[in-house]
Amino acid sequence: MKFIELEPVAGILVTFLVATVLLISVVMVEEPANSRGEVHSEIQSMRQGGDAASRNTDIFSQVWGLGLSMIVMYALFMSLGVSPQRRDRCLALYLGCATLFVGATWSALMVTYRDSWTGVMPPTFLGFPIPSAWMLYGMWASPLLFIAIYWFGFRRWIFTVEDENRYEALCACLRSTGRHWD
Amino acid sequence: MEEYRSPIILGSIMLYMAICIGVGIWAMRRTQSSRDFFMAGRSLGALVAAVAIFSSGLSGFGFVGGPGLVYTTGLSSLWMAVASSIGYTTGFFLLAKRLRIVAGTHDIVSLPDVVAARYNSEIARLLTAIAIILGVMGYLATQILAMGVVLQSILLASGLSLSLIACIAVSTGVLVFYCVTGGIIASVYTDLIQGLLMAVVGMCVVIAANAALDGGLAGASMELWLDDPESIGPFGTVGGITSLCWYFIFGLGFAGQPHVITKMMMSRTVGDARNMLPIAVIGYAFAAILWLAIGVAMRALVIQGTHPELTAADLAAPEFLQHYVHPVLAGLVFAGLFAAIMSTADGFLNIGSAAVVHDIPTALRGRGLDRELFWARMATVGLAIVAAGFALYSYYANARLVALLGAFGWSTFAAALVPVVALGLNWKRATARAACAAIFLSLVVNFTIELFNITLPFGIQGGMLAILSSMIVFIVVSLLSSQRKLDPVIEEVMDI
Repeated sequence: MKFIELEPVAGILVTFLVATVLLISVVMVEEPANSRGEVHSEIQSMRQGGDAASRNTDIFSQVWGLGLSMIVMYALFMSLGVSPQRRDRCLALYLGCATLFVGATWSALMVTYRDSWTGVMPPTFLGFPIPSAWMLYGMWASPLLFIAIYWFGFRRWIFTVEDENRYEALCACLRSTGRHWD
Repeated sequence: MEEYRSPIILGSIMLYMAICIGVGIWAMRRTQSSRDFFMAGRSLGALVAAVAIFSSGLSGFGFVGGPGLVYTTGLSSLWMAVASSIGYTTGFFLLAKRLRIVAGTHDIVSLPDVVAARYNSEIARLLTAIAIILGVMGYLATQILAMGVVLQSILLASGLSLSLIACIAVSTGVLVFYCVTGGIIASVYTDLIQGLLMAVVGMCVVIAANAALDGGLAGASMELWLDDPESIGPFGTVGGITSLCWYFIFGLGFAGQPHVITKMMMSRTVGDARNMLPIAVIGYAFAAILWLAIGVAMRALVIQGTHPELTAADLAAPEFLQHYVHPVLAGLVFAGLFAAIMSTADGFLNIGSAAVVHDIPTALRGRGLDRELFWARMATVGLAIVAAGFALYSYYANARLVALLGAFGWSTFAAALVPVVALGLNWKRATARAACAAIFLSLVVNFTIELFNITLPFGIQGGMLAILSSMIVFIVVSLLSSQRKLDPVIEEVMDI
């Protein structure tokens, strides 16, 4: 069963335009002195970030939005990689849920990061402060959901038996004309 | 055992180089044609192809530059590694099946061949080849310089003094030997050894880093928090915008790295892609974890006063290995470092020689050079010599040159090839005119930003601008330009 015939490329273009608008809105904000960090006060070979609130408050929403638009962009690219005739509601549901999960992970990172600006060290998880743990364990590992979709759904969405037969038929046709290279 | 540290490290590297030479000799017997030299005869199993993919993507940067950046800027640079899981997955969804099918239905030995087949355009092929050669020169020069510098410092620590030129000659000599004799077959099988080594040492170093610090990595986190909370925060000292730019560039950019995605065309069957993805993602994660562990450990050790301040950030890994790790593990990690550099460099040598002897001649005169295998080997040697020359010139005379060439690196490949290859193979509306526009724009934007040292507010990365602009231009120009009828075989490939 096919789901809505929305061209993923259109969605990808929208995410690029959203990212562009967000970056332009960032550029229009007055840049604080420590926006990119500064030389460490005691150790010259290191840099320090300084006061988190002062350098993040004015662009917080843009950063959050930029991350979300990137996550949606990645999911749309993945859907583009699936042949149109294979894009069904089930795939849309799984990709959608995985996207929501990664988006929620990103949002948890942002919320806990903002909460950490008070200067009080947040609780740690497996060795790192909670916001950083969301980054390292959450953002790095959560795309495993997409990998699971790829692995479990390989014969249903990526390269079905029908696709394989079609490919072999194409190779046979090319072989008969002396053009096959596999 | 401590008094044998330097000999163990040197011995490990020599042993590793000897293995590479052995693989080169073995692969030479299996390399009978240019198709073998460039495409490994499309005979790779899923494990070999997957490990080759991640080890090509993770260069010496993950072992030296990465820990150095964590030492300097905290967790910021980890976004390049974090992007790998979503980037690899996106790349596999977009390309693994399509590239393998195109390779099976067309006479393909290189990525420009794929571009020419897709768009039926020799101009697109030529521009792709030019972008690849520029990127290869930049990347190769930095990798060759890194090999020479690391080897020189290891020899010095062992009491042996050798000039940088000699060190570059030795290390590049080994690299060129196995690339010339065995082509891509030698490259991917050394990549297999390299990737497995990198994954194993990565995990061992995490354990060592934990042991080197009071309270382990958790204690180091506390130390960093007390010193500067932002450094151990999710965006490090560089801030959220730069971190997200890296998440974008290194995630989406994976699908545009020619030295990586060409390996998707070399698997035995289309179905191998299913297992290649998880192997590549997990292998990369195991290898890249060293980047985090060493960087955090060294930053904490210097802040505590346990270790003197580093004179250069790139010394983070060598200093950690020299002082806080068992000599045998240190030897393995240094061998792993060489492995990481070589696994990237050999891929570049191979695609560079393909561009020189096959893609550019085909674009200009309709076919590759006669005796293509012979000229491919000559081109491999020539490219290595030129890149080594650039490396030495930049080191002694003009550091800007390699930085300029280095701009034609990950970001340029991403900006040029993601729209043209990744998007183009999945979207029938894409046109040759759009492909040419995207490649041209990617070169101009990246070159201009580097040449004029343009710094953007809030640390917005030029590479992100290049990718965004080339993707938008590619889509818009495709929609506005008239679409030529697709080649029937390409149309069938895109329908599968």
